[in-house]
Amino acid sequence: MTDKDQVDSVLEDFFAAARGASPKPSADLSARILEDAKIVRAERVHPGDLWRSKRRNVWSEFLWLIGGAPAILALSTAAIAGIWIGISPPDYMAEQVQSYLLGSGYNATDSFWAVDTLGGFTLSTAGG
Amino acid sequence: MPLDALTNASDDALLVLFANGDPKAALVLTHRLSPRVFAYGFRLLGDRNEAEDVAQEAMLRLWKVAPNWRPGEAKITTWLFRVVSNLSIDRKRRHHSRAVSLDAVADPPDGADSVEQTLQDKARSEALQTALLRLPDRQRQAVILRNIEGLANPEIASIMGISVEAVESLTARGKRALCKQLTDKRDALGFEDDR
Repeated sequence: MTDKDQVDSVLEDFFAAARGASPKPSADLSARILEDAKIVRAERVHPGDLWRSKRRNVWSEFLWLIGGAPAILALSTAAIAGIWIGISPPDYMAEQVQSYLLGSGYNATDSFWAVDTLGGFTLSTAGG
Repeated sequence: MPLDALTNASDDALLVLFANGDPKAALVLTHRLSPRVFAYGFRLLGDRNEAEDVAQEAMLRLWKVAPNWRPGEAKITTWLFRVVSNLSIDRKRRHHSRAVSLDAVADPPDGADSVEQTLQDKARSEALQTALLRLPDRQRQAVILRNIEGLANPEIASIMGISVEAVESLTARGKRALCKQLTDKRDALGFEDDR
């Protein structure tokens, strides 16, 4: 009997016993796997559900509701720009805002007649 | 499609049906594949909870890959065994290996065997499991796939990403190491009574 044959003869009964007594998963495992399948299928129809299903806290719920990280970035940028303009407004803005708020004889239409819609053309040119 | 018709469908066909939105295909695939996936994970890890987590993760990856699966290119079981191998090795590296619990190996199915025979088979299976857990990871994988799952060497080579010759070498070394561990236990496990 060769070394290989001897090894096989010792082990074959152990392997046979292992094949006959295969470990069985709990019933809960099937339920978990099928739940995952359901979520993955829903994810294909409604993207975002899989990610949403894993969320745990209020912050991530809020983040998801407003549109995620890009929305937070846009909101932050707008807020910072607003504060900056509030603290240090450009000169022309102060005049405009003041005239609108106080109504000091300034008419919104006043500014329109001064706009040169014809650029470098003269009236005579425009009239042909 | 009716459930009866699905039970005869191939794994590939069921995965395509699942990708197309058929929930019954997932049910059939789960019942067909998850016991094998779990058993393989359990034999690699020696821990029921860890093996269930690995089986769930492997099946989740299967559901996700379903739309891109190309039927006929690879066997789903081969792919799953590869995923379970990688996940199990990762877990074993993170945690220390744990001793196998006496209740972890299931009883053999009821049949004509006597109670004594059933208990003997369970004891042998547990002794083998304990010995398997002492093997290096790659040897353990190769021996389980070859001698318990009954896969052919080329399929094992594909799962492990090595050559067929390397598989033969790993199984031979693994079996010699198992033989050393188990020879002394044969008397205690009733092998003399079998003759």
